[in-house]
Amino acid sequence: MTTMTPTELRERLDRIADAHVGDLETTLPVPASGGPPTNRSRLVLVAAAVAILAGSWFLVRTTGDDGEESPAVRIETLSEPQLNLPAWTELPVVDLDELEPWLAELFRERDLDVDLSTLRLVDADGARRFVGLSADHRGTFYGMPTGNAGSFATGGSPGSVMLLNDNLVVRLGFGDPEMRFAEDIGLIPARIDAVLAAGERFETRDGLLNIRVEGDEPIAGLSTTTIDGSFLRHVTTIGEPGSFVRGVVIAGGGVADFDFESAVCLRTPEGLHVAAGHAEGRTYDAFSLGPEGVHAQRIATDPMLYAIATADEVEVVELGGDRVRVEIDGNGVSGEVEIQCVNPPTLEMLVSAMRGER
Amino acid sequence: MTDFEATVREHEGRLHRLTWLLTLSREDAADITQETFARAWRDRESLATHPDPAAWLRRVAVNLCWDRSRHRTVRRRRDPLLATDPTTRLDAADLDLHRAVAALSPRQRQVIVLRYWADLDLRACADEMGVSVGSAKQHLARAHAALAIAPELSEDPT
Repeated sequence: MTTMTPTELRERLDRIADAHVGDLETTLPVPASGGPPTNRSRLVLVAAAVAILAGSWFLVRTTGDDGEESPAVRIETLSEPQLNLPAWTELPVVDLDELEPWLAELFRERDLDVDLSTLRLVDADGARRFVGLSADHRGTFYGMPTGNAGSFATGGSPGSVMLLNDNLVVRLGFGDPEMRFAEDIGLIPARIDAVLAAGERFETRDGLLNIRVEGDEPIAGLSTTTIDGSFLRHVTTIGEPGSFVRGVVIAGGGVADFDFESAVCLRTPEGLHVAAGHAEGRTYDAFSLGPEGVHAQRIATDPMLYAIATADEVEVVELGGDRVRVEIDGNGVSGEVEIQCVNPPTLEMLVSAMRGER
Repeated sequence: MTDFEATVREHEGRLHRLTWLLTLSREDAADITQETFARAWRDRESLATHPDPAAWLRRVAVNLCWDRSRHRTVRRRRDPLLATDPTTRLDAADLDLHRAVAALSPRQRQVIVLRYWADLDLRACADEMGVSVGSAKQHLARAHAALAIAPELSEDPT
């Protein structure tokens, strides 16, 4: 590395940071560049989540009279973060200029003290943007920006996470209690029913839910559990092949730390994604998000899966029964390892992933 | 625009870059930036009269980044940002620097970012890191060595 002056180092760090987060600033509250949509615009989708946090927002998309979908519109709020506000509901199709009274009525129904003057409409940048919201068990809600379709919201609170996209809204959480909670805060029951009927909600253990959203690639696996009254959450996301799973884990009450940053995504030519999570210490988890309609499986409990998934080179040496032996090299690990999966089909998918595009 | 909103708008860009430099994670950076402003909102009255709001926000963000790094018990084996991402705007030298900064320990990264990117003197770095000046100096020296910092940079002026 060449030597640098302080000024050069500062400039270079700035460039690096800018390359990584500069584009994200378009997802932070920014003044409208082109002004809000016209009053003739129709709100067709969706989303209202009053994330009561400085700089939070919810997102709506509009369709003009010509039927063309507009860039997303963010509605920002700078209201009191500690208020217990509705995290989520679905907007009916309303004129944009009806939005404020609609929200006022919503808040009034819920006996919520929200200063509507803190809400503003701004244009998003025109890209497909989604908003994910998380709510903790105290009812405090956070809104976080997400990226493109298939990405996942990560929030800063234990509890649950919601994902919005233009076709389907999924709330992920604790299982039945969470579903009741979801109903309480206004998630359309029919949506939940549709998800359940489609077999797309998979509870694998202790409240773990893996959900995929129809019409798109697998999106997210999420698990939550309650241990002695403490909340532990894993949120995993599926990104590009070879990318790491994004995770936010909050552990409390003496629960071991987990770190799903160590998990990775693999992808087969068939489009399968495998998320392999590694929690240091005594617990290991790996989840697969199978093809549509296939039950999400816990696929392995061996930490070597992580090594396999992150190795530069993987060669399947032997495959049989519920085990696979692979030769791996890279990322500080080299040698032959064996992993065991809970069922052969999942093992085959894993092997396929290892042999396929990574 | 409220005073608080003006504060957010004034500082969010730089704070976001700071949190990214300290965490090297887009999600963490966004999360921590938002949490910093949430705390600022809760303390907005005192923040409004604070002589240096940027320092107040920076200290909260640095602490949050540090808290998060302590819970990162497993280091990334591969840089997810480089694996996915938007570094096409960077030249080879910047990519090298990025990798080198990513390889620093959280404390070393903290002190390098605070000392050179935030342009704080060593005592201020130590204050914001919550460590002694001697400790900060030690972290800085190790970071210098790891980054192959130029001699003139190694001569900390404080």
